[in-house]
Amino acid sequence: MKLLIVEDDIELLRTVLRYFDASGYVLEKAKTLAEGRAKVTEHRYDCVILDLNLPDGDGIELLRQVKTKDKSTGVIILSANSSLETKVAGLEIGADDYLTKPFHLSELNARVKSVVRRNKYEGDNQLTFNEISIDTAGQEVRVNDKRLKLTRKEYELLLYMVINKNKVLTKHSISEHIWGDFVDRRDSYDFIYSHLKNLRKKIIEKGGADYIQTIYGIGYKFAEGEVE
Amino acid sequence: MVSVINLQKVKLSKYNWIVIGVIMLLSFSLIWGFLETIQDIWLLLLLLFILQFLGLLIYDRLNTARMKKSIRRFIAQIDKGNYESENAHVIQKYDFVNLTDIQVELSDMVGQIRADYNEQKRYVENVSHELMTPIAIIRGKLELLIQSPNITKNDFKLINEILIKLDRLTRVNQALVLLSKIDYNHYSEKSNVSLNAILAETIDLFEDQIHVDELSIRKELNDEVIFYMNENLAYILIKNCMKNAVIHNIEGGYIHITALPNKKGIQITNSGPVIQESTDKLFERFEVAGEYEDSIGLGLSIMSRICEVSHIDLSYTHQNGVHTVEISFEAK
Repeated sequence: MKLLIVEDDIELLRTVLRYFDASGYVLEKAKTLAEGRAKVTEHRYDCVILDLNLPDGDGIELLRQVKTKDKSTGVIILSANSSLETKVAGLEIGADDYLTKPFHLSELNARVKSVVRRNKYEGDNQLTFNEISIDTAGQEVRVNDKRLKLTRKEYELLLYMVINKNKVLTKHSISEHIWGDFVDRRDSYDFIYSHLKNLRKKIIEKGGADYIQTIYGIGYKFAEGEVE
Repeated sequence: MVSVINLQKVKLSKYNWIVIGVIMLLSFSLIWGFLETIQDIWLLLLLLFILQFLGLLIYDRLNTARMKKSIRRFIAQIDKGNYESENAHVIQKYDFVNLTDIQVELSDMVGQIRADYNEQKRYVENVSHELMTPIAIIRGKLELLIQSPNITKNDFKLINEILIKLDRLTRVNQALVLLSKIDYNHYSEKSNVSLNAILAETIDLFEDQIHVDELSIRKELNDEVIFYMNENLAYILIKNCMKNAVIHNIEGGYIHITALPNKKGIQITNSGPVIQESTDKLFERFEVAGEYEDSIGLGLSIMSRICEVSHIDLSYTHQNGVHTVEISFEAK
C-alpha cells in the first residue's frame, strides 16, 4: 500500500513515518505544496494524509488535484482546527476523512486503513488475524469459521485492535475511538475493561486464543504471545 | 445661554445667516429713507433682539434634542460592541461632529479598540494552531515510546501520567479557543434546531455510563422543542447539559427531561451529590465542585456564554442533591 504524507512540520512528519514504517506501507513524504503536487503528478497513491496549512499554499489545492487524477485515492485531512464547520467543508470538497490535531497515531492508522478499504473497487473487506476474520462490509466476525455475535462497541473495539495489531494502545486512544472526545475519560476506562472482558470470553468460547494483552498502567495490545 | 453661544462659535448656523440678512435688510431700509424717525429704528432693533432671543431658544432646544438622540444612538452602538464593522468613519455620521475634539478622540478610541480586537482574534486563531502541532508531536512520540520492548511497569506509569496531563492541556486549550470563538461571533449563523433529536443522540452517547450507574431516564417531551440558534452551539449546549447530569449523578439515580409548561424550553432535573459551592461561583472559569479533578471547570462557563449569545435563559439550581437546569428561549 502506497502512502503520501504532506505535512510541513518535520517532527510530526517523522513521528507519523516511524509509526507507519512497521506496518508494511510504502511511504513518501512532502513538506510543501509544490513537493506534494510533484509527487502526486508522478505517482499513484492509495492514500494521501494532508495538512491544510502548508507554507506555500492551501492544501485544498492538492486535494483537488488528487481527486481529479484518481478518485480512488483516499485523502485524510489533518488540521489544527477542531470546529465542525471546517470538518464539513473539508468533506464537502471531497476529502474522505478528517482528523484533528492532536491525534493518536493508532487512530490515524485506523482511518487510513478504513479509507483505503472503502475506496478499493475490488472490495477487500476481509481482515484476518490467525483464526479471527472480520468482514468489514457485513460487519461480521468469525472465529474458526464460526460466527461471533458481538455488540456494536465490541465489534468496533475488536476492529480497532486488529488494525493496530502488535501495537500498545493507550486506554485514552481506545476511549476516543469508541466514544469520541466528549465522554468522560476515567469512566470510559472501566467500560473498555468490561467490553474487552466480554469480547475475550466470546472469542475463547468459539475456540479462539486470547490475544488481548493488558499492558499495566497504560492500555492494551492485541498480539500473539505470552501475557506478562 | 453660555453653552449655546459657545456652540455658535464653531460654525455659522443657518440662523446666523438669517440674522445677518435681516440686518442688511434694515440697512437698505435706512438708506432708502423708508424709516422716518429714530424711534422707529429703536423699535425695530428691539423687535429684532426679541426675535433673535426666541430664535436662539428654539434652535437650542432642537439642537440639544437632536444631539441627545445621536449620542444615545452612539452609546448604543458602543454598547453592542460592533467593532467588526468595516466602516471606520461611523462616528462622523453623528450630528455632534462639529464638536471636533470629541469626534477625534472617539474615532481614535474606536480605531484602537478595533485594532486590539482584530489582533486578539488573530492571536487566538494562531494559538489554536501553534499549540496543537507540538502537542500532537509529544503525544505521537510517547505513543512510539510505549511500543519499545524494554519499558518497565513503572515507566508505563510515568508515561501514562504525562499522557493524562497532556490530554488535560489539550482540552483546556480547545475549550478556551471555543470560548473565544463564541465571543468573536464565529458561530453567528442561525437556524431552527430541534432539541429533541440532539437529546436522543446525546443519551445514546452516554449509554454506557447510564447503564453502569443504573440511572433511570425519563423524557417527557410531547412536542418538538425548537430553538432558533446556531446548530453547533446547540449540540455543545445540550451535550454539556447531559454530560453534567450523567456524570454528577449517583448510583441508581435519575434524570428527568421535561418541557417547560409556559415557556419554550426544557428542564433537566437529576439526582446528584449535595454540594456546597454556590451556583454563581460554579459558572466562573476553572471552578470545579467537590473533588472532581478530571473536569477542567470550563463546561458551565461555555454553557452560559452560548446562552448569552443565543438569547437563551439558563438557570441552574441545586438543593439537597437535586440539580435542576432550565434552558428557555427568551420571550421577545
